[in-house]
Amino acid sequence: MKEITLDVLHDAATRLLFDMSDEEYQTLFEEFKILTKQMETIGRIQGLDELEPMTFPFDCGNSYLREDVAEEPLPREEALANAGSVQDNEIKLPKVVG
Amino acid sequence: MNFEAVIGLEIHVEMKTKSKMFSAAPNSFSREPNTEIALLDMAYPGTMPIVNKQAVINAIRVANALHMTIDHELHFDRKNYFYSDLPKGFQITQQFRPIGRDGYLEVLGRDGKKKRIEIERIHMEEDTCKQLHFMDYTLLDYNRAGVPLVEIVSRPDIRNGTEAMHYVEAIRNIVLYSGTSDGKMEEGSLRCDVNISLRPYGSDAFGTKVEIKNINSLKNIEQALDYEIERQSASLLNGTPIQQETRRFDEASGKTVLMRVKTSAVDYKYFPEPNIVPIPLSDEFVNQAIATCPELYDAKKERYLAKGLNEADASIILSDIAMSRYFEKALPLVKNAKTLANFLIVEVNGYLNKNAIGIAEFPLDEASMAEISNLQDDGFTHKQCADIFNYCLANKVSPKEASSALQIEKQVVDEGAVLQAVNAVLDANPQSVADFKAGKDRAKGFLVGQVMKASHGKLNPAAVSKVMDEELKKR
Repeated sequence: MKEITLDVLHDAATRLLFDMSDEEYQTLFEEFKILTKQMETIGRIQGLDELEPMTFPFDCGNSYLREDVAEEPLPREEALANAGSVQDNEIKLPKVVG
Repeated sequence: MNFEAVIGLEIHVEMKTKSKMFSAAPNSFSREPNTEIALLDMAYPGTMPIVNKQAVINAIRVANALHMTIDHELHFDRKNYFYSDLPKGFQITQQFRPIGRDGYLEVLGRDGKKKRIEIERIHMEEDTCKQLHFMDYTLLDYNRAGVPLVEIVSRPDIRNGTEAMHYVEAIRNIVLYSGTSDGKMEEGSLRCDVNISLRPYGSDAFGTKVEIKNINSLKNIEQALDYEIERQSASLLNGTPIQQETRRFDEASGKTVLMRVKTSAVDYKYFPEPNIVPIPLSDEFVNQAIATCPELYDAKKERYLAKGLNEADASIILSDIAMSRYFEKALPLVKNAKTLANFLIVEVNGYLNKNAIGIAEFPLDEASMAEISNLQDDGFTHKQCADIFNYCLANKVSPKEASSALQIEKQVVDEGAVLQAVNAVLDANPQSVADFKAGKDRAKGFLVGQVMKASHGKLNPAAVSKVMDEELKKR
């Protein structure tokens, strides 16, 4: 597992367009240390590789399906507010062809 | 050496729902960019997907029409990749538990015989945002992000372009008539990707696969595949191995063109979607979705054939779902379905083409159309009814008003009256009778014309022709 350092958190925040204070970075860093320790503890359990991965902590289900009703969409100005560049009401990027 | 083509198709169908697959943003194909978006569609943190009930109903209906086994528990998975058309960095799909498995369709092969094409799976997923590429920049419209899709994956049972075309056509008819999608290939609501490889006849092994992406019409599917079979055959016979690549179809040249060579398979790191717990579907829900499915293309066609239409008539009417709706509204009002069909196929389609409009804008309502159709079955000629039809459209009047304005009267079929008129003309034109007897068939046409002229068009031409034949024999 990749070691979580303050640099890793800064890099991730930049990529996710987050802006945090130094204090918040420090809090997050401390929380990750606890998480990492917990993962290490779990990792010491014998025979883990033989278990099927779990998506949910217990066998759960939910029969709810949303009725097909359209709601008021996001105003376009708000939808485009965080875009670095906009042209003809579309978000403009350097050319990307996959 | 002769080769056999091995073809599999992946078809993406945009569903015609009111809202998106996992958000309540409208799904109405707005042309105004970035106006049909919810926070979820732009992957704002903290937003959660909630499955659209109608999308599930639609998927069940299509799965049932494709004779598939339907999974009674919904499971969704994440397909991870990083690309600008995918705001979340993953697409929610059904990789491990598709809603439908192991179906088939029977389609017409090139030899005119029915062939069964096995279908591996149908699954639900969300569409990506629409990208417009220019010389040095790309524009993003998120309206399409999150639009519900079903993807239908065939097994590699197809052997040529014609089978592929008929397979896609059958799927288009299913999604169209089940109300799942408008199935417009040219507008991208039904998109088709094809995988094709060649192998020597008799071999079980698969050759190197080439993908052809985004073919946008039925005809192009046939052409693209037939071209690709030729291209790959020539290449293999030359000793040049096929490389794994993605190609596109160039309509102008009728050829497939290289887009990119595939170097390695992408690992999408699929895993179960943690934000949607498994959703059990009751038998009642699944059965109800199937029972309430609108009548499908094949069932309609069978019903039309039983009403007296021939195969070609039924296919023409069903090729436009709006036309078939019009036909069905008029159907209970007519005496003869075939007469109505003839009017729709010839007169109505002619009017629509001439005015470049669809049946939705056609000014004559179904009841008036049925009235005109019934006039023909009551003894008016088709020509007379067509005149009434044209007069109604030109003057915005009812068929009754048109027939009165045109002073159209029912033609006489009474054999006595016809016999009298025919003999009068024959007596007055001995030379034409002699010409006919001498083998000049055109003379009969002249004589019939004289009878029609003398009766001011009131006699039925078919009856005149029949009596004319009989009387000419006697002379």
